[in-house]
Amino acid sequence: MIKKILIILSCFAICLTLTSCDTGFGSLKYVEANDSDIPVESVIAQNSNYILELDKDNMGIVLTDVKTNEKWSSTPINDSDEPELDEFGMPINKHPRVESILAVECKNFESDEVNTYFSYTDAVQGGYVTHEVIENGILLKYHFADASVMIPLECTLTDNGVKLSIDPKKIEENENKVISLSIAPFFCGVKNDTENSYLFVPSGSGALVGTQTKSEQGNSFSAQIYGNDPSIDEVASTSTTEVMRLNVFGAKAGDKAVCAIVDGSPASARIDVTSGSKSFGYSSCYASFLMRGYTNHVAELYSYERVENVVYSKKMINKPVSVTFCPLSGDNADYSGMAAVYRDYLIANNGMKTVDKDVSLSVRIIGGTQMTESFVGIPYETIYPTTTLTAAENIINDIKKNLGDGFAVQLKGFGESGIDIGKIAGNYTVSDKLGSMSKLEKLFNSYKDNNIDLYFDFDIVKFNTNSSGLSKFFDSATNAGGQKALQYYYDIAVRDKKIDTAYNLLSPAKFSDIYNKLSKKISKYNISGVSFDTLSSIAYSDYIDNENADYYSKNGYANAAGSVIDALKTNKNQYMASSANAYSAIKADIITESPISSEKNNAFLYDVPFYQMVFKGSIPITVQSVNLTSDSKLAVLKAVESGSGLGYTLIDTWDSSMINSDLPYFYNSVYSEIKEGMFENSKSLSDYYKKISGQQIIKHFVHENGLRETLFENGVRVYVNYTNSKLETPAGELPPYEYFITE
Amino acid sequence: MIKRFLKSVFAISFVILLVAMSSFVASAEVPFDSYTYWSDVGEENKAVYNRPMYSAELSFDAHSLGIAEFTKINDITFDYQGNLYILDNSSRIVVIDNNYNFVREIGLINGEESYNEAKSIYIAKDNTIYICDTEGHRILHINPNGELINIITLPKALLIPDDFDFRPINMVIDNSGYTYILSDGSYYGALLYDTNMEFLGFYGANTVTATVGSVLSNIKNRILPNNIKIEKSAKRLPFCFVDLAIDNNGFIYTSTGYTDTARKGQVRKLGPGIGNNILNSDDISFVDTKINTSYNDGAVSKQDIFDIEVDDNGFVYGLESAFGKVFVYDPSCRTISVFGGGMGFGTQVGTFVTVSALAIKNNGSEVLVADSANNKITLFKITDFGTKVKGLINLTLKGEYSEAKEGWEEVIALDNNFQPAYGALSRAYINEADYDTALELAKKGYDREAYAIAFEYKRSEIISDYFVLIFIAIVLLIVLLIVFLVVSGRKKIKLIRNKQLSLMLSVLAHPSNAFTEIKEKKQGSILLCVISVIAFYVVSILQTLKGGFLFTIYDPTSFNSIWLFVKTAGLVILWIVANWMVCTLLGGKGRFKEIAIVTCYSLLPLIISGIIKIVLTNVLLPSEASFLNILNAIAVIYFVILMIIGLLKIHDFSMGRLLGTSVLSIAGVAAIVFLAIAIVILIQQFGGFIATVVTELLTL
Repeated sequence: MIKKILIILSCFAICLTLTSCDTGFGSLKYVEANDSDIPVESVIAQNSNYILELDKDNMGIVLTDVKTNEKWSSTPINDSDEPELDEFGMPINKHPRVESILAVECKNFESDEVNTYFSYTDAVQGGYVTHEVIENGILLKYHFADASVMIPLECTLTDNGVKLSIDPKKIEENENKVISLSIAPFFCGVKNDTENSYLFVPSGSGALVGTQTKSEQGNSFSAQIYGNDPSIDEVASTSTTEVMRLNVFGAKAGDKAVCAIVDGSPASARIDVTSGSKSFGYSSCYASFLMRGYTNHVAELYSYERVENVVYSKKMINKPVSVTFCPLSGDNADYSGMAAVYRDYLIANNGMKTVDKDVSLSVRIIGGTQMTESFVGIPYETIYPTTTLTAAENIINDIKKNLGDGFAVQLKGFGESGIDIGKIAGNYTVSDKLGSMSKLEKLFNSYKDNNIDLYFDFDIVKFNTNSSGLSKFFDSATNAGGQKALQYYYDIAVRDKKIDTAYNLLSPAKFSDIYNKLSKKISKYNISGVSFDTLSSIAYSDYIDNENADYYSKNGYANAAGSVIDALKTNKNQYMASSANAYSAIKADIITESPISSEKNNAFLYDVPFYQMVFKGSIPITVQSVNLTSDSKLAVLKAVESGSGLGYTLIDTWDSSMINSDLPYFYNSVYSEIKEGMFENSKSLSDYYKKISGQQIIKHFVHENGLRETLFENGVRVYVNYTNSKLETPAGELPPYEYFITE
Repeated sequence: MIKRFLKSVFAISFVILLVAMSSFVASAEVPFDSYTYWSDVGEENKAVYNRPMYSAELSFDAHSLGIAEFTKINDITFDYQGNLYILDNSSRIVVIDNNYNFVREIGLINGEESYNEAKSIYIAKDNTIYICDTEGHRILHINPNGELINIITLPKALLIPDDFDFRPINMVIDNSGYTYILSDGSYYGALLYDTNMEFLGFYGANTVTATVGSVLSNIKNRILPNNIKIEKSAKRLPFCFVDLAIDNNGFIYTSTGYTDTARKGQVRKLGPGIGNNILNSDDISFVDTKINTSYNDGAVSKQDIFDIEVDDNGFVYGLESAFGKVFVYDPSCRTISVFGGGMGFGTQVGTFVTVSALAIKNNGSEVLVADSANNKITLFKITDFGTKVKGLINLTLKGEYSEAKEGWEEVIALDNNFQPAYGALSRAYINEADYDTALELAKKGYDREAYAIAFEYKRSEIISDYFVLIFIAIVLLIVLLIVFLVVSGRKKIKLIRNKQLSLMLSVLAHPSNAFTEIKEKKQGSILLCVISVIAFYVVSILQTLKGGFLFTIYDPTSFNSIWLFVKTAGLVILWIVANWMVCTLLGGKGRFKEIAIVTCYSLLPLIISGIIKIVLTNVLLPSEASFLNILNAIAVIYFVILMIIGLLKIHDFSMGRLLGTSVLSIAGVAAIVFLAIAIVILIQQFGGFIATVVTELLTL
């Protein structure tokens, strides 16, 4: 009997030990390779356009254009046949990072040590590389011996170039856990000081980065695709910034260029740039994927001491990460060519469709904002009606009277909490201080047959109050530290969190539930046009699901948001995307509030209207509200340059109590005060917009003297002068801050 | 060959283009929130979004100028021709022309004199250069070619203490040729020299504000000194100036660095003579109202105006170091715009890591900020909106309201959040005798000064228009009152039939009799007590909510009705409890109910005066506020008298005993408050402890 008990206890103990071995990281165990296994043949794959070869020296890849024999490589290739020599006549070796096709950042969760490993030094030289042949390519397994990590990189030849992808489920690791991965960091690399070269990043409207040698470290820039992850707790917001809304980047050197599209898990990627670094000798931009998401955990201990930790999720993202590199040459080797490649990619792979109309004006009408009032000194929140539905109707009619139809209107902030955060989707209704759902229905019906597109905005992301079927505790997004990813408004002066403004983000897994509820209202009240501003403009992680890691490191958000938009479109509703990230913009019937500048990083040379170059001609697009920009005249010129319609934000009435608002919408939005300027700008540009209606931008130039030129596919050209002096154009002299249109 | 040549030409021109474009392309948006402050809207000034008055146009560094890297940019300044001088930390001055192109460099003086760690430079009208060689304890005066003219060192003078360390950090020369030198760490003010560089004395030192408490504490510390006290007394020395600037009239402006206590009056304009502050800025905070508490690991963000400039119209530009922002003040010290930022992490054009110097050009239409961490200089250019606003402020300060009216209307159309526009427009409408519009605008812009002027005119207008009617109404009212009193006296008409209410009201006229009746006939009513306490609280609230705009500042976002309840009803209840406890112990005969009734009935004068005040604040001007003060004093005295009579009656105390128990009751109130606070803190700490334990467990 005692023996039996002992056996049972032993079994129990063994089971317990075995189960406790599962640390929750959920990744494959690293299996050491015995030796490298390099294919004999260099050529991996070939099609009518390109040959994909293996560079056996560094186990990178080389892509050769069949027709021109030009080469692109994961390690920049010198165009001259002569090897580069140093002052002593010895050949100059490239920096190991430049020779590496992979850079892997690992963290040891026991020791908290973080190290970066490079494929050239730590796998090719200090470890092993094995391979498997796959269709149209090769699977290279980089064994980083020191880190005990194996990264499987699939290189597949496509019609446009080469796709490099990594499946996180196949990554092997031991005590060092992969936290980030950079794929081919120098495929978009340019030797410093190369003539006629730049890097392209999609910051805001788009920006170019110079490649001139700067210093030992050079300039660097890094930003997450689709914006910073709000689930990462930041103690303060140091500045305002434009977001990378597109999953593309590129580089140009002479008459060659590369357009890189982050097609696998783009939301989990950031685009890193290093330029002008003497130590590398190359400038480059590349995608780094955050394989394990994180948050900054700030704990205030009982002793009032603060402990700051970066807390990583244990599990990796669960979908493959990939970048497709598309070589460009000749006349296409510039950012105009990149825009065309990216546009074609969105049409072919993401279902972007061409909308058969164009819009030259969009107005965003703000319904109300929450104000603190008091009843015999007892404070309560109420809505201040900046524009009632009746007032909105009057505004729309007045615009129609003055400008005719053909414009788009967004009704924003008409829900129960106005423009501020309250119940999810404004509690699916119109605030009684602003109107009613039946009034809204009438409004939609009255413009149904007119050429005025009306959209009603629902915020299905941010909420701070429980509502029926939705709880802050159960349904809000959680950060990598396991806590609710609370968000705050920041004090505009000292950039501190305003603690009393805390709100939650809806877990992306709940988007469909909320949409199902919302769709009933949309159908019931015949709301034909809908916008989801917050859904389309931010992307965030949710770590609430420990099993599947569906929304880790922002991964999966775009799909969840896209499904909502698809469902909306399936119901024959029109969709407006404002300040839209790519996953939302491609599904839109109109894109509004498109960025007109980059984030103005010190590393940037100048801005280009890449965002508009991608969408103009396919989807109607208007620029961010002209009246809320720092310089309205400049904003109008930006609209002209990019062929985009004008955008305005409007309210009916303003009251000095609105200075308490946390939102920057109201300081210059009163319709009666700005309408003359709006009409003037719209009328002066109406002919131009007619000429370029539905036309794509095929080329954009920034001339030596600062003159900017945009060429549309029908041959219309526009020249814009942002400088303080007169500029010569082929069509004559162009005064400062003016534009010329030629055909 | 030709193809290759053309290719090269194209390539070279492209590179030139890229470099050129990096500097001179206008930016559409700014990477910071542009804001300004609204004053007089609540307990503290409010930061509100506003249309940017400055936009970051370009940033340049040694690389874009085509020169060797800067070691650390310590100072930048313009000469009178608009050339920019950049002082590098490694004995190097770089001169840039009006278009921000490199002109020349000045290195070692006479080829040998270094000035490493020099903190600032000053360019005189004759284009000679003064280098404040801080660590060299001297000022080097050189000609534009870099040849030494003179070396200024610490003068020998009786006024200068033996331990004075001459570490010049800034200097200016006024229109009369007098030189003002600021020495690091000197709390004596600036060293003043005449045209022959003869030392005249110290000029314009900050002063320490003395309070009764600080004087007594000082005496105590001198009698019983210890090291901590000595250290603390050192902190009470006058705060040192950190920068000097001079306006076109020769007035010296100073800025005081960060201090733990002085977050006000950091910028001063020194008058002639001993250099008193003539800017009226002592109560003005020249940095942000709030303090960031979460950034930088919870450390207080030490915002200080460490570099100032003044333009020809008296606008002051202050560079603040903690966040890297530029504050622009109009000549009346009103914040009109704040721009820049970065909080030590600035990577965008217009944001900074470590700001080190500020310079202005073209009367403030160009503002340059140097960043010593990345050795970049950023040019901010004034926007059309900024130019318009500054011009209009000049007109308004000159009293030319009507001329500025149209402009201000345009400003409001461009930026509803620009507060000074409302006051200025209100004044313009006062000039046009449109007082209703003036009142509306002044109220919108919280400009109580303009409102008072408009209100005075409007009130006079109403009185003159309706004088006869008002006079007749008053006479009629008096006659009716007399008739009523006479008739009700003869016919014994009782307006108030409720005995208890009548008794309560009779407290005002016959307190002794009324309180005797309350004590002996038990006629007091607890219900009326509660009603009077509620009335007292409600009237207190209404004084804020419904009081005249000129006398009240009501901010719904910060108004705390609970705190007001504690200050009114809470205090009454506390007094009743404390007095009951004390008097029970000390032989008082009054019962709890009686104390409550006496206290609450005695509130009547305060309630009535509160109601009268609500009415009067809506018809009086601030200059007539003495009426309100008299009314207040009468009400309080009346209340105290009623309390004394009432307590004497119910407790059957002598006057001495009453005073004694009253003092003890006040002490009792304090003790209860202390106890309540201690309990609240204890509960809070316990809650915090639990929360911390949970947080730490979750972190593991």
